[in-house]
Amino acid sequence: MIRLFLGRLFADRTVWALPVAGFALTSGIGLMVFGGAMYFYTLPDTEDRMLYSVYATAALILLVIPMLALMGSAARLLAHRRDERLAGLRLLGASSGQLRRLVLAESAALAVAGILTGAFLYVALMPLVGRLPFAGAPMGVSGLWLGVGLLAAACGVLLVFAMAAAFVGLRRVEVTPLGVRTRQAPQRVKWMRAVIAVAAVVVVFVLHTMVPIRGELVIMVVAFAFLAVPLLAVQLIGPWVLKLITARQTRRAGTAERLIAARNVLDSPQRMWRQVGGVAVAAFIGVIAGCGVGLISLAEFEQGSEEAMIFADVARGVWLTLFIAFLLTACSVGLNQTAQILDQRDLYSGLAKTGVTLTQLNRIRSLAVMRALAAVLVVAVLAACIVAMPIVGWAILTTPVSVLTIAAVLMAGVLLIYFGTLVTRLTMRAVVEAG
Amino acid sequence: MSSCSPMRVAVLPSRMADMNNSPLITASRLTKTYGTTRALNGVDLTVCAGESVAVMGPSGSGKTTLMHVLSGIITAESGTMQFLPQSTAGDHPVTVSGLSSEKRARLRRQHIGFVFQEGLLMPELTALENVAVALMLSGTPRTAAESAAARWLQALGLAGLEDRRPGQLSGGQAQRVAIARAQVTEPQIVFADEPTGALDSATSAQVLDALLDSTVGRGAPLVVVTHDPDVAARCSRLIRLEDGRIVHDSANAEVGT
Repeated sequence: MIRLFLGRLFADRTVWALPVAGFALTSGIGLMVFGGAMYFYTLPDTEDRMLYSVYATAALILLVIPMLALMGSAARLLAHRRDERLAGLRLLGASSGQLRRLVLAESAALAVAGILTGAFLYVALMPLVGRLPFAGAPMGVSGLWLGVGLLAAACGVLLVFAMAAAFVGLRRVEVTPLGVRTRQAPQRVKWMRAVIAVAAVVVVFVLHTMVPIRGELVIMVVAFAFLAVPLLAVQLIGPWVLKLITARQTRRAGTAERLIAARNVLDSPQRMWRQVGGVAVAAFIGVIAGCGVGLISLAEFEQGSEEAMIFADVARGVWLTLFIAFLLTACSVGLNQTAQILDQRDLYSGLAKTGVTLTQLNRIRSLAVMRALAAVLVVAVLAACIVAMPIVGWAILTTPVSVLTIAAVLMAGVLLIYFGTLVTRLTMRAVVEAG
Repeated sequence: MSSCSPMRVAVLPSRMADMNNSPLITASRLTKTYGTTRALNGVDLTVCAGESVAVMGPSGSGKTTLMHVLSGIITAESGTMQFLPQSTAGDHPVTVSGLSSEKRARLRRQHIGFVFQEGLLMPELTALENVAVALMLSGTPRTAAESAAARWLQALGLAGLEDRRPGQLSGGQAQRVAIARAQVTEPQIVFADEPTGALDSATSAQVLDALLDSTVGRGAPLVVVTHDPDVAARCSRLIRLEDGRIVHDSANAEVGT
């Protein structure tokens, strides 16, 4: 059965195009970031290499969350686009184990197609990205090239991630003889997540200030923990805060669009967090970037000195990581929203028949994403400021240039994600016009 | 073929109460083609206030296309379709085929109710909100919309279920919520596409009762597209379509008088 379905998988473009695009984008960006990190790891053995390696590792860690979010979106979209076939098989008596194997086999086939396309993207973009100067010279194509062995290994890791995302995505949809749908019952958000998150942050802060730390490696581990734990805490606490904020918005909603948008988020705060949660990472980086700009504005570097070069490189790296994080989130929002529109296409075309305009339908989707995004940004910026305060101090954090940079970065990110929602309007139009 | 037939249910006091038997929709020589298939082929039809019209015919005969053209969801390639609003004295006949898609959407939102086979309720909203949203989309404040929605849910026997989500309702209950949503704007006409198609016979009869009483009972016409002879038998008028033409149009003797 699996061989039969795999043979027909690529016959219908509407089934494979978007998931493959999602996998390709994640893989292309992931490979490029990995290539960049390897460039820093293999710099000539100087004091600076350690510093560059630390920053490269930090960027890799920061980008894992939005990359996983995008992969998960691609996997969920795939499950929704095969609904008729899966429901048909269920009707014929296929067991859930058989369906799971089929979905995983199809996901693997599409993920391989996406990852190969992503690898092609990586190779094609190397000459352009290679022009970026770091450590005193452009990285160049040879600097970004992973080599065949490492490239194959990285593709293998991406495939494992994609399969894991497909498996998790499948748990969130229900295959019945009447169709495939996202589970109906509202998902519960446990307050215990918030307690664990706050406790973890407190422990890290206490350890950081109380325990004497010696040795380069230990300092590095503690520094990463200092960055990663609050970030993970935001991921844990985020859906819970989003639920609280949206519940209030639901009660106060005065228009149909706001009510539906708020209910859409409240239906599963985790689902919405998965879409826009990558922004929390970007907001973290944005605050760090703002502080960095504030520091540079106060410091006096000698023109052309090594210190000035390193600061410029760090700033460039931070901006790059920031751009990638926002880009991945915008793509994740686009794919998730497309999946939701396709999942509820009968409902949307039915609403259009009753006289709900395309503008109103688009406004509902846009409101759901942008209001959730605002909540995510508030949580993430607050958390980032709490983390940054003991490191850079209040004076740097509130430098006008820092505040302006943080605001500009967040605004640019919000616009990029808004653009991600605009792309879904084409799908909504197609669904409504198809009737 | 295009005259109005007597209606089954006594007209209830409503804003349409004194409009009995006056035409609400007049369509003449409607044609619509999909590729090489002629879905409508010169259809003439008048629908009057207070009547219930069952549209029957084999699959592909043009039933759903006719409903879509009559309700302004799509426009015919030729022929004219007029909607004659009867709510206020100042309303004039509207040539639907000449309206932009935005204006047709507004017309549907304000004057036409729909009930679909699958209900098509929003899964994340409660029953009350699903009904209230129909009014809120036209600008009614939430409090007023929810009061009206609660009244309709109560009238349809759903009191106490206001806070349930569609996934927590039975098929019949969900379809009655869909009827409440269609009625809450007090539309001048209601279109139903296989409204009982997904229900068992007992629930089907209850839902049809609710649909007829809430629509024809207040003097508005109901147009039902159906394959079910039992549903058609409950309507005051039966239209049969074949190959995009009306081949039969008569008052239902059992129901009509």
